[in-house]
Amino acid sequence: MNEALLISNLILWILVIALSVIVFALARQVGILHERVAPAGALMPTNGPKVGELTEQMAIPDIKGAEILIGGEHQGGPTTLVMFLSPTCPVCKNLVPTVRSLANREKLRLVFASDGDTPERHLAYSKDLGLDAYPYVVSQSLGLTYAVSKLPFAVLIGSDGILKSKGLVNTREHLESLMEAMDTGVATLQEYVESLDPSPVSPIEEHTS
Amino acid sequence: MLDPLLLQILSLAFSLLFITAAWHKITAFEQFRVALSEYQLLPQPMLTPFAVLFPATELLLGISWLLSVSPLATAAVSAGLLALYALAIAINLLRGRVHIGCGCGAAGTASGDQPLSGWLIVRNSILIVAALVCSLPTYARDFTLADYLTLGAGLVVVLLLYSAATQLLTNLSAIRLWRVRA
Repeated sequence: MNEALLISNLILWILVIALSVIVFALARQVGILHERVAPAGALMPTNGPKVGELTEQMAIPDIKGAEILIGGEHQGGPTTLVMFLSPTCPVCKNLVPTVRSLANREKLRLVFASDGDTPERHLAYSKDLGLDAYPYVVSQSLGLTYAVSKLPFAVLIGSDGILKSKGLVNTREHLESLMEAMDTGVATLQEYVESLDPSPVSPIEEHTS
Repeated sequence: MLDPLLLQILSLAFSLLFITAAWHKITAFEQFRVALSEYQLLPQPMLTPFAVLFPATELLLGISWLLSVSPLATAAVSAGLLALYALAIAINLLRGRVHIGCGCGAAGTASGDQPLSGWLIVRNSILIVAALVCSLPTYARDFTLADYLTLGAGLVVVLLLYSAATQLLTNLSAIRLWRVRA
């Protein structure tokens, strides 16, 4: 009897462990699914500064030592596109040529931003991708200010210092959705749908007037 | 009276919990300091001392749980520390600062720090109850082979379920990030 209980206990433990492993694996897979399934437009996080708000002015030295001004009321000049990337992010590398051609076409002031790592690594990375002509800043506070949690991330700041658009960008379409958001003044598709008048004036009413 | 086997499982689990928590805070010290400052509870000059103090306390607790050094004090300090964390999270939830990272570093990755939510307080409350259970008086008995089996298997299950719960919290924050509030 005692032996039977012990064996039953052993088998139960094995089953409980197997079940726990499966529960953990399922939870993990759901998490991975969330990371992989990218939305159609640039993913705009709800945290950090909101679109339409005035950004705070930040003066940050770039890797070559020159002071770069980002945001703020007195920015002036063209619209600034701040592109957050990292030497350890493969998607960022693929996106760099796209960002450059887009910035040329739309006449944007392009600033690359990153954090962590050694300055030498960033210099080598910038040289490697041919970013010498653009300002490249390494600053943790910049990333924290705009609540950058995933890379590559783009922030669009107008010449008046107003945050025009921001979001996680993985493809050219995502980047263009940011431009679209700036041109139309509509931050997201959800906002556009909500802005539509819920009770349009019916043609019949127009005739009676 | 608490069976020593249950105490042993909980002690080893707490030991692992505190040592890994301390390890994450030490290896990503700068990130933890930033997370701590985002709580906006400590004056600027106190940040670095406290950013050192928290992982040091956790490491010490982890070691005392492992070696069962003064179990009563260890359980009390653990419950106190967890309550302190829960309080800090609750204050920031009330302030509406839900976007800040919790600094728990449980997810392990650099960007995997989860934002604050009520669930973290629930998690800490469960841990506090578990710590207090460990302070109950126990009786001595010799462990047999079956007890060691239960100890090992129980520990594995507790760790797996804790990791799964943490993963679910991370998933929840990912879902929240997608939901655009007007």
